[in-house]
Amino acid sequence: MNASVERQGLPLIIITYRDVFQTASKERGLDNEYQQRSATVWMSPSDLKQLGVEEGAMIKLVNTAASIVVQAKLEPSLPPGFGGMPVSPYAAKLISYEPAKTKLPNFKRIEVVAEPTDEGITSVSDLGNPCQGGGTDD
Amino acid sequence: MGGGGGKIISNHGNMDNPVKLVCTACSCLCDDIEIEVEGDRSKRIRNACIKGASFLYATESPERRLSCQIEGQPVSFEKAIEESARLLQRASRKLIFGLDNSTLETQAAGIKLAQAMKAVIDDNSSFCQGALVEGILGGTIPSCSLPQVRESADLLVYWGSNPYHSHPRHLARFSFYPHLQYREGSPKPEVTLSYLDVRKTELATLCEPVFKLKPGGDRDFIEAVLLAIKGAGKNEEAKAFVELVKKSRFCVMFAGLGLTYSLNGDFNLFIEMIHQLSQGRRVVVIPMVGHFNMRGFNQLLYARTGYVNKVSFAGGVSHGDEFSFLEQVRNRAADCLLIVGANPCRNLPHSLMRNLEGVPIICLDPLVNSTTRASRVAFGTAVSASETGGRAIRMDGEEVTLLKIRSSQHPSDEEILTRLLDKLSK
Repeated sequence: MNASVERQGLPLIIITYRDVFQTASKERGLDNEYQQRSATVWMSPSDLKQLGVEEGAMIKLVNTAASIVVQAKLEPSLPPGFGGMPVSPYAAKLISYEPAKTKLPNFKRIEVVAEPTDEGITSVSDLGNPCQGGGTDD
Repeated sequence: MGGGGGKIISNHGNMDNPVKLVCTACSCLCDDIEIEVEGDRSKRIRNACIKGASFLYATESPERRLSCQIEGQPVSFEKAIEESARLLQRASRKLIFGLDNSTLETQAAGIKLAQAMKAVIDDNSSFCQGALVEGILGGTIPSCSLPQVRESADLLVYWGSNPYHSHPRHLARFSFYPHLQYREGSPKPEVTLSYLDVRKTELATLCEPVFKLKPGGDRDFIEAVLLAIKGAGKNEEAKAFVELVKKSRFCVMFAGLGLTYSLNGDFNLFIEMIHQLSQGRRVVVIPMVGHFNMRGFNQLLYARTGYVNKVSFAGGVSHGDEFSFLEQVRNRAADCLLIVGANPCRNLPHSLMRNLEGVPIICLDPLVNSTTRASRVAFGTAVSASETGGRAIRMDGEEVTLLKIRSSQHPSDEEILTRLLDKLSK
């Protein structure tokens, strides 16, 4: 891993998108598959290399809103510095809404720092329900 | 928990005589869904995509269905109505949100209730495709129907949209494959398919050419296109895009959320581009609306108030960003929320949604979800287009009739809103 990346992590801008298989797993009550497909960050080959990890590695995504652990997936068509995540409570933890900066929430431009981790994937239940201050998500 | 789907009332529902219904998993509103029934459960669903079939099966799952509850405890329908009326009566700043997954009849009842309560009303369109729909309704954005696309278009452009995941049957039923003209001996129709996106998607195998944008670079690309139309600028991709459109007679742009968010909801430059590209050909826009009747809500509210969303009925009709759901939550403006068929506690920014902690929520939904769990009062409702009939507006503005095929032990959302209006009017 690059020494400065090891110290500071890799800045990444996350774009959210729809994943029909994730949507279907949610509707069909396939909790494990839903978590697996949601707790994912797609990254470019060069960013994975920068972090010194391979596809499947655990990545901690951190910003001022939250810190979550997801699994890295390879997406060669993404430019370096950009990541992809399905729309889900995982992405919702990291998204912010600051109308002074942008009129809409930053669903397509979530700024995070990515770093490799030995921690396990954040579970759906650990994400909590923001309107209840806890509990489990659907 | 409530029960699953009720008794089939439509017809026999066997292999030769399946039950027919309209799918409400997205705003394609596919009306060719057929169900083979065993007892009162679906044995086999024909023609639906994975998204639609999964939703239909979920509505038949007793553990997914919601019953009437107060603070998570099952109560009678009447008790839930009483408590909801009490909460709404004592609130001074009421907000109705959602209604995009409801019939036109329910939406009309919701708007009427908002007006009677002098409440704020908004839907998901204020942070997705509302600006495009407003432009179409107001006549600033040209559009067309999906049958016209199939019959006449010769260039289809998906911009910031991947229908494989958002609207899985869009290509098969409305745009590419059902095109009327096919080249002799070719499996591909006489229509050019293209897309603009920040990454390679499943569309790439069908599209020629493809335009890969820099993330957040849609505005820069549109500016380059406007220069290229004048024969200026150095952006080769923009020049190629202009040439592609100029070669067409009838170009349809399917605008997705990728475009909306990249432009931060400001479509002025995009509209300017559409008008300039329209010189000598027809160029139209169809928004890739997600919720099955979001366009219906927009059209109804527009007809009543002149606005598609973000309306306050306190002191007549007012409109503005301060009445958007996001701003209402950010400013903790509402002291009671009535949420109909929406789940904002799940996918909207959690840092924002924490502002709702402690605010009484009344929620109507067929299924248990994060928002129903966080609600003071939750109503398990009948499923639109299977347990209730009605009408809805497809993404292209065409009205679709939704048939009731099952009885239901659950009240319809229209019935609940009408009961609340009666209660509050006394």
